[in-house]
Amino acid sequence: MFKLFKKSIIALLIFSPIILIAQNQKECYNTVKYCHHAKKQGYIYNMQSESGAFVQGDTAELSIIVYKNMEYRISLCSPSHMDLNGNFEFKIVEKMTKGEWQDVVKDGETKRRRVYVTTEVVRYDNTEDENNQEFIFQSNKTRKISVKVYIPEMSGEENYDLSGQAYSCVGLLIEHQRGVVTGFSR
Amino acid sequence: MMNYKSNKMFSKFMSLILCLVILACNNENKEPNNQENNDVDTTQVVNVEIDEINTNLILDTNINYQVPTPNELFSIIKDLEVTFDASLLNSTENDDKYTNGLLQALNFGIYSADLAFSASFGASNEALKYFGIVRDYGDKLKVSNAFDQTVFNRIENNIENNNIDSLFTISNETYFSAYSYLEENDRGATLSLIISGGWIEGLYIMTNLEKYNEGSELSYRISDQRFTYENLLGFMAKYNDDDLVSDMMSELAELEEVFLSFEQSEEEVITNKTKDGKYNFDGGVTLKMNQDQFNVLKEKVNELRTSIVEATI
Repeated sequence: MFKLFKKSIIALLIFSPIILIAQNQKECYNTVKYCHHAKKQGYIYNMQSESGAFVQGDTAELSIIVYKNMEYRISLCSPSHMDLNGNFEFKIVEKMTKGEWQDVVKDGETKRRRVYVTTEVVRYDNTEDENNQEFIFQSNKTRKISVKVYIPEMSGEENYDLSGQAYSCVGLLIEHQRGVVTGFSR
Repeated sequence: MMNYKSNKMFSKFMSLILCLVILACNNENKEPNNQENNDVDTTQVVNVEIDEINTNLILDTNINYQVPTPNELFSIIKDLEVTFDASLLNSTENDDKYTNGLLQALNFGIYSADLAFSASFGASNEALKYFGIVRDYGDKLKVSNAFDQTVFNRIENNIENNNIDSLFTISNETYFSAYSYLEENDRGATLSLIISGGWIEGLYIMTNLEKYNEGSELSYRISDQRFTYENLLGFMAKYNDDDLVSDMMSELAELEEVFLSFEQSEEEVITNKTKDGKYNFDGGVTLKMNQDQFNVLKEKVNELRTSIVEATI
């Protein structure tokens, strides 16, 4: 009976970290609520914010829509890996899509289809701005932009997923408030 | 004998542990943001299926697409010189028609957008009425925890005090609670149907608020919906293996031709930094629609919206 108890304890010791890690992935939902909200500055939480489990050393991309004359604040946080805070690298990229007609071969047939070619313009890169961890901007028109975030590899205590990769819970917080209307009306 | 029993018990114990591990791993695989899911194969499969939906859009499943809420949309629209029109709201009497999950999810989105429209424009009586129906749908779709009595009381108090801003904030919080609840409970397919319902209602209201007026701010805001359309399809593509979602994507694809026909002009891209460390984005792409394009878009949106509110979809 003692042997059974001993085996059970060993099994628990072996498997419990794996169960906990799998649950941690689930716990990454809503990480963004732990990020610093700038409510005092008048910002409202924007539903395009995102939380998730990310592999360290990887890049994540979030496509959002920003409305004309609205001021946005973008920031990042990782409550599970405090050492990541202050070290995120991110870029704000605007993708401009242009339609052009091209011959596309599908099922052996050549069809003329409108194909959309996308060019990327980097609007902001925090590595060129003293690694600033928040970005506040306003746009003179509605745009579709992408936030590309690099999750740096940090030494120290790490969590691992089942494939052995280090992961972190990261929140990308987007907030908005009515911006200052400038210039002439279109 | 005892030893055999012990071994058997140990085997059962180990099986239980393994089951727990497998269950935990399965849950993990549903995590939409897990980079492990974003491999090349997934991208190819989803893109092939999207291709069958007849979209020419380039949707990359490695990207997380987000869609602004109806609250955010109407906070922009209310700044334009347009007036609230209660006749555009989906009648709460249509409620009985929505007997299946698809109709309930789509109309939950529609009623949520109606709530946002009413709250943004300070139509307090309508806001209270639509909050009530949204709360009922929260029960039907089992997201009722997002709409507790405290929130309902707060809305009533704000209406009594004519506090429009708080009404709008509560409407925003309500949508957020429902959204988060569905996302956390791996109900992304239902969430994407709700979002598409809200998006359709937003566009329906915008295209029916006023007659087409070339160069008006409203016409530009309608043209801008092409961007949100692209992200809506991108968001839904994650749940494309659900038949209801892929059917809805096919319905939405009917709007694509007119959206993509909008005139597109480009200006030099300029990013300025202000003295207070904030940035301004200037230049880039401007979309513009003409009278004919507006008419086609309006007709198609009205048709799609009618099929949802009349439960014929």
